Amino acid sequence: MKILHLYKNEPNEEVKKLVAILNEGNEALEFKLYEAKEDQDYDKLIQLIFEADKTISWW
Amino acid sequence: MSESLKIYFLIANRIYITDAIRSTLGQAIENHYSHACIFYQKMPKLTDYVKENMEWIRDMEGDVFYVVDTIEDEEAKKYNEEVGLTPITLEELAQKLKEADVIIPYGLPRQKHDPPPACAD
Amino acid sequence: MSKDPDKLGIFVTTPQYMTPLLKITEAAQRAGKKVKIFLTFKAIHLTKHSEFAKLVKMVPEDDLAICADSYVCEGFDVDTDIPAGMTPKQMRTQAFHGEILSQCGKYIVL
Repeated sequence: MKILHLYKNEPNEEVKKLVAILNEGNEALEFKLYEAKEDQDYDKLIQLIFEADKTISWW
Repeated sequence: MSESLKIYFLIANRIYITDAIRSTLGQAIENHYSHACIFYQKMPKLTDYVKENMEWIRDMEGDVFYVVDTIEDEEAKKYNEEVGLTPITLEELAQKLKEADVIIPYGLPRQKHDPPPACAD
Repeated sequence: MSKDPDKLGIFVTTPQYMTPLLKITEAAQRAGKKVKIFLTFKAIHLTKHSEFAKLVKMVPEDDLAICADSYVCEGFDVDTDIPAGMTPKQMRTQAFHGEILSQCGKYIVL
């Protein structure tokens, strides 16, 4: 399974730990929303969301 | 009829706890296995409304957890158990999340300050 | 009803992501995808944002709603103060979030 981790803020230790376990045996993608600025960044996000089987939008 | 999903609401910020429990119940009523998981926090003062929501979630085969090893304050852990939250470790929760259909990190990240008296309840 | 693989559900729980919400909606539509959006709890304050009316125009009536209970809990009047460009039909319950989960092939939370 392909999992996209969408980060709205820098991940803390607990998020990193959960992400590491959730990624076991899966293909992981990530997107830092807090760094997105241009339209093309959002185009990339949409591409990743539709490429992934599941997205987790961390706090 | 849609399939029943395994849903986990993850709550980090104190102000969002009671509404996330309401939202968790909302999906239990939609016939999903709906769970609320509270990180870092001592449960706010428990109203009858929240208590009933928690009971209803459990009646619908969901649960309301608190993540034990994200809380240092022993008094807060004791209180969380007194008000009926189910203890779970981060590792145990991670294993459950691996089986989840939907993971919903709800609300803001963990707040940096203890609540002032104006919103301490 | 099966999930639409070209539809993105957006569950909005916080009040500070107006720009990302608009930009994600625009990007999804540029890519030929649909969105379905529900605003709950503190996110209902986005309805008072100057750009909210723009979002209302971009999304079909059936695919945008706010939690009426949250709106009332935050002190607004659900009958006389329907947000910019919305209709009474778009003042909904948590069941709308259930619709998102059952209809949308993709899902994010803001």
